[in-house]
Amino acid sequence: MIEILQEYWLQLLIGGFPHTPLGGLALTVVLAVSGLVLAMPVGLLMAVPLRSRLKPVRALAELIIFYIRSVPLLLHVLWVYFLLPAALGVSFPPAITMLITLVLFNGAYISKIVVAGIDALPRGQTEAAMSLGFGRVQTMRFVILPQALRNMLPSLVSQLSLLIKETALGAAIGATEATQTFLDLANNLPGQAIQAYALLALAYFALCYPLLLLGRRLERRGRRTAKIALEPAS
Amino acid sequence: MTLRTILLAGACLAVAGAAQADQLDDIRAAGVLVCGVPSNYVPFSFLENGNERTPVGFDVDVCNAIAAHIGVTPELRYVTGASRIPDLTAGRIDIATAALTITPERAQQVDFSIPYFRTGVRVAVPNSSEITALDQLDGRRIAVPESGMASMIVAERYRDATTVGFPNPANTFLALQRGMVQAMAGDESTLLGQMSGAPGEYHLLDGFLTDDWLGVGLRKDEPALRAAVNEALLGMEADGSAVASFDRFFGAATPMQMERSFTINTDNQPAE
Amino acid sequence: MTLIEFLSGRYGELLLKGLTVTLQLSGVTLAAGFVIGVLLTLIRLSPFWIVRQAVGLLVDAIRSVPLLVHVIFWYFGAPELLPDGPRMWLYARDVNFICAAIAISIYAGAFISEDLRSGLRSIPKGQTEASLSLGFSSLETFRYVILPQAFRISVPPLLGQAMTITKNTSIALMIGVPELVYQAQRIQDITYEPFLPYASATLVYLAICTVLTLASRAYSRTAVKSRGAQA
Repeated sequence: MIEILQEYWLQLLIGGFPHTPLGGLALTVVLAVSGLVLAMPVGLLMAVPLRSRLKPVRALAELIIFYIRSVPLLLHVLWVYFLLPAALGVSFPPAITMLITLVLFNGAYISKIVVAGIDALPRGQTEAAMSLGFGRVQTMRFVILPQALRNMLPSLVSQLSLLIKETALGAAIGATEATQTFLDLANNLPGQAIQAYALLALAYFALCYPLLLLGRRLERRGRRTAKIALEPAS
Repeated sequence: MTLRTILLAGACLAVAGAAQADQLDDIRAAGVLVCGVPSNYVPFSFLENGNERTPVGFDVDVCNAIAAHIGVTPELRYVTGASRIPDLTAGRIDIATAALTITPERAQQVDFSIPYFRTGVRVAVPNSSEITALDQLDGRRIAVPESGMASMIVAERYRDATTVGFPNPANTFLALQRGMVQAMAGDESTLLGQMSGAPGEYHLLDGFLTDDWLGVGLRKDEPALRAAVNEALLGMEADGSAVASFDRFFGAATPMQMERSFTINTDNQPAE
Repeated sequence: MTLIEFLSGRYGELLLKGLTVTLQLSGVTLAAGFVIGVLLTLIRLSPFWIVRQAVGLLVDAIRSVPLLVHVIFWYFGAPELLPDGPRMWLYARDVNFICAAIAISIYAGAFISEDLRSGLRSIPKGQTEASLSLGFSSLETFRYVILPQAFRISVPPLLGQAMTITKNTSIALMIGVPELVYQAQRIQDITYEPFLPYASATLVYLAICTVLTLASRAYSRTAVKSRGAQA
């Protein structure tokens, strides 16, 4: 394993960059971090129509989110990569395709977490804020969301650890992120393939395990407050 | 950066790629030729060992020669077997130098340059195998790279065989090495490239299942670019760089030890 | 070509084959994943600290690595570690399917064991104390009082896992398992027309998830009712 690292550390880290687009672990980290940063606001935005007072708006939002959550991420990736260009006349490189898909996919899950977090708060909170003269938006912004966000942190954190792992599907459309880079290397080093896979697993473990621990700590701290039951995702 | 700016930036790029009167002019104006190559397809396209990570291979040489002929900088983008034609039609790449076999079906989607490499589907087995000829393959498990000629021809020719497809040739060969299949079918050069990693352990069965030519993939109706690509390919033959590249990646000094049975000229015709 | 025409031809046949493989793979991995999840949960109840920690770390490690990497490891790596006999036995069978099933089952098992564990934790401690004071042994308490409740609490998340597993089986295409998305891609390769095959595959997943979601809703409704009746 040490030999592989000595000989190929730069390739594993950044792929063929700068001769080719960025790849390797760096692409995985870039995709994961920008995915995390973008999926949060998108998830919050997608939660807005879910809480709309208009029933058709709510129903449509539910339908779209059900659609996103029912179809495998891999199939979403293929739609965005192969069909979006034909439909919109717009085409994205593999890495951007992955980012868009990851953000929308995880946004849908996050919107459900947000709604569940809001619903878990006692109604009295809204009523009290309203009677104090807060408007609907203000109530949500200053009273409900801060409390709800604290309660949903554990679920959010575990959703984010899923997002990191999902970047691996870039391999299916030619985004040479960590998995594809290690796989390519393993193919060229038949005798050391297992070591390369072990290194790959270790790299993901190093990225995801801290989030897992963080999620667990947050959950322990928040256990006394309202519990949020959610569909598991993996 | 917000999602919107990324989307907009991407949209601008794509529109710039799509709204072209003449692709060759656009490539000259941009100063860059974007070639689609596989990320790891020895010896057509791969990173040279170690931390140098120089992209090399026969297709990389072809890309470089075409870019040099046009007078622009070559730029490599990775494609998969399934994505190389959609990547071309969607404008993600300017040309596909991706070991692309010329077929009538593909010719309906994209245009091809003149043929630049002769190959054909063959079958590799371990030296210890009881299979000695192409007619003994029915009923066996045969690995093929997906989206290649082999996957189509093997399923057609050996109806009782189990064809197992893999996303890339390296994984296909790995399945053969692990003994998960009894044989691997693929382009001759693909097989020899993979076998060179395990010298003396595998051999090719006599004969070809198909007679194929590789061509550079181009978007439809770009006569100026197509002419430039053809000139570049003929130039490679004329100045000896095609032979040099063949020798470097396939020739006697390589584990593949192939002999060049063709030249690049305007008379080569792929079989229908 | 309309969807109906498309599906009634030979492409429909390919997709149907793919669907069969998807359902087989989902069924096998759901069952095996559940068994693995229960086993892991039981081991994590061990009185020995070191055992609990070790299994806990194993579960976390499994959950920290992408399913695709699991699948690649079990297909390309693990068989290498087997002795010749079992390896040849494996290779004589549908090794792609078997390796994908092992990888997905283990991955799902780790997630299911987390669900079961939080199900267990949500049962108040008073239950155990009451049961022990009624003369049940601690094993009996676990078997007759705690476990049935834990399973009941875990049903909705388990139905969610069934959904997740069904979707996750699509990753098996990366090692050549001819499931639904694999067949859709194959048709795209032949026709260069991705819309109809992808749309068909998407509709199938929507149908499967609709059924599972309805089942989950029906379950929570009856569960609420029966709890109401008991109270």
